[in-house]
Amino acid sequence: MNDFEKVLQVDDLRTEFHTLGGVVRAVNGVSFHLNRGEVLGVVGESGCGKSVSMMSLLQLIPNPPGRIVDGTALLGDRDLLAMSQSEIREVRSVEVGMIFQDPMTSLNPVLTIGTQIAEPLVEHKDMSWGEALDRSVELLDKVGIPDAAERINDYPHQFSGGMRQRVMIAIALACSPPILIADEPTTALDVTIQAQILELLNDLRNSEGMGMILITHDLGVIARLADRVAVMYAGQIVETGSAQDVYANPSHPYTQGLLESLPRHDQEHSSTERLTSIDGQPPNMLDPIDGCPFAARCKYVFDRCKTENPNLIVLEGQHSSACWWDMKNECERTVE
Amino acid sequence: MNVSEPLNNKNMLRVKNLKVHFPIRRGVLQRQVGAVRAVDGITFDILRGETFGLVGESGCGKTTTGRAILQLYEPTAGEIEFDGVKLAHLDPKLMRDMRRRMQMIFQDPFASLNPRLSVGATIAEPIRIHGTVDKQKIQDRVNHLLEVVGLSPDVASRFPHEFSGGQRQRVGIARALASEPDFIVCDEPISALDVSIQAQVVNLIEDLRADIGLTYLFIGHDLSMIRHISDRVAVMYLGHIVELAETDQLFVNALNPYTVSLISAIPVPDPVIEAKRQRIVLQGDVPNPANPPKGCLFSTRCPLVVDECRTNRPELKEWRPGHYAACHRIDEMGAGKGLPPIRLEQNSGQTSQ
Repeated sequence: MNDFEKVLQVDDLRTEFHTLGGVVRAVNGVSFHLNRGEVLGVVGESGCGKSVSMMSLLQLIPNPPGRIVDGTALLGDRDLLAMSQSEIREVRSVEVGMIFQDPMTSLNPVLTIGTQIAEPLVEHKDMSWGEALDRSVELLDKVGIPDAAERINDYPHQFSGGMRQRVMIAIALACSPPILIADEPTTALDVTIQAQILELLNDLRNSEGMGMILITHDLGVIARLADRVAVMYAGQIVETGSAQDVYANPSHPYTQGLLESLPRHDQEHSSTERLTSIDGQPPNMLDPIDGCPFAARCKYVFDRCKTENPNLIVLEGQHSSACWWDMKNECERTVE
Repeated sequence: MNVSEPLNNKNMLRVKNLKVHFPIRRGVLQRQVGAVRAVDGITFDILRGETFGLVGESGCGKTTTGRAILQLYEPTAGEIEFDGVKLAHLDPKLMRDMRRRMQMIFQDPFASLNPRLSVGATIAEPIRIHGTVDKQKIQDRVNHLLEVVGLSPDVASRFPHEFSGGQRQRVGIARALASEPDFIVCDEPISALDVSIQAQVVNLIEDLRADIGLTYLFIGHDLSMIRHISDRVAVMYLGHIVELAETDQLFVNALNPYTVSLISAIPVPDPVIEAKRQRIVLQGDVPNPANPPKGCLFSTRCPLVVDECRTNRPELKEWRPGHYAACHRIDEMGAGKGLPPIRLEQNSGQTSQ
């Protein structure tokens, strides 16, 4: 798989939060990479560390209480985690764009959206305000906002939720970054609006060749857009692989449980059919976990799981799973 | 329990031409300058023992409908009949018994429990108020309810903040069951929960229906879950029901272009299917309910729109037995004659692979 050009390589990222109750290891040794023009879907439940991982990359974790304790994140040959504030600031707008879940609160309510899109261009691309505003109109047009030339003078409250998310995307795209991090970009939106935004993201990936990290809890959204998937649980990546492999052949009990628990709108259900649920709850991250964090909820659990935390074990090609149990052969997994 | 009630009556709930309008007031004198037509004339029945799904995007009036049925909002017009009794202007004493029999499970398990009441006290309150069991037996009843929803009776003395979202929702369900209701409005009971917890709560809600013989109005925006749990489904758009049918009919043979678009908008958790699936991406946003379009409500976004749609609002009509839809284009598409569902991709709507 060397045909792809890696644009981002993250190794052994660890982020902790020091709280009154103790230390929360929110990100506990996460490694992944992103290729040019590819969509990496990061899926997991609330508190599994998916947002914290990505915010750590851009040094957006408030310190204190947060602290990145270990790891490297190479963008080309530069380590994002070792950068100074002014360097990382440049990266955030020019090289890695970011869009957030809530388009209502991520825009500045007292600035026109034209100003907000133009600002990074003036700041980082040495454009004059006039040029930058012209470019803003183009960007708004590109993300599908009608009458862009007039609307750049409007304020965020004059836009609907879906339109605000388009504005957020326009801001993230302003300096044509090679990487876009989208943190639950459609969670706050209605399904018909979600479909519009996913369509837009897909078009942008194809037209701009942008690499995208898509964070979501929705396995449908991942199936729609992602080329590769990383499933997170309790601060770790528990399974990763191409979207096809992970969905067709889920090899971690958590991934399997998630996929089984979803009802499908494209399949018939008998009225007596129950959903397969995963028992229990995610672990409290304040408690130290010996062994596999999913052990307490896992139906395949055996002795080794309670004492040894499995790392990602390569199954085939890009597909790896952090599980001691080999579901296919129904035996303990041997690591060469 | 309730032996005195007519058992031969098939309908648990009848909603006839229900309207809920919220006034818009402006100026010093707070004069009414308009109204948000949150629910604007909807009619449906819920049969005894069924789960009736109500689905739509935010602002379509589904939650308002649920609350108006429970008389938490006063309807602007229309009739609600629960088990043969009209609820409007009911004698307060009778209304109290009606309230006991109709309960609600709320969306947000974090906001719907009183943080200062222990879980036991929360569940005991409706039992005490409605006097469904003797005072000495309240604690037993609370313990029993906690067990029914899958919690240990030991937790009765704990407070809501000590529980996770899924556990709180279980407490909310126990509270709703405490007054021994016949009918429960479930208002998006799982949308605030994590994926792995959703299935647990839905299974509980389904088990209770079978065990206690409940009737549900299940409000949601997640069409996959609605398909799983409902016997019949109504789709709402801008305060109106645009389609109503048995669940599988609705998902397989949807007649209204809005329903077809809504179903197609939801991604399927399978990348192989997703890559092949035909999608209809609707343009634009839902119009403002204070100023709805003149003709068909969906005419501003519908890929099949013709001139008639912009001037005349279609009525909800029965096209097949039990399958109602409001649309001018159904006949032309041949769907009313039992032909396959509308193929929107052949038309002007933007589609994509």
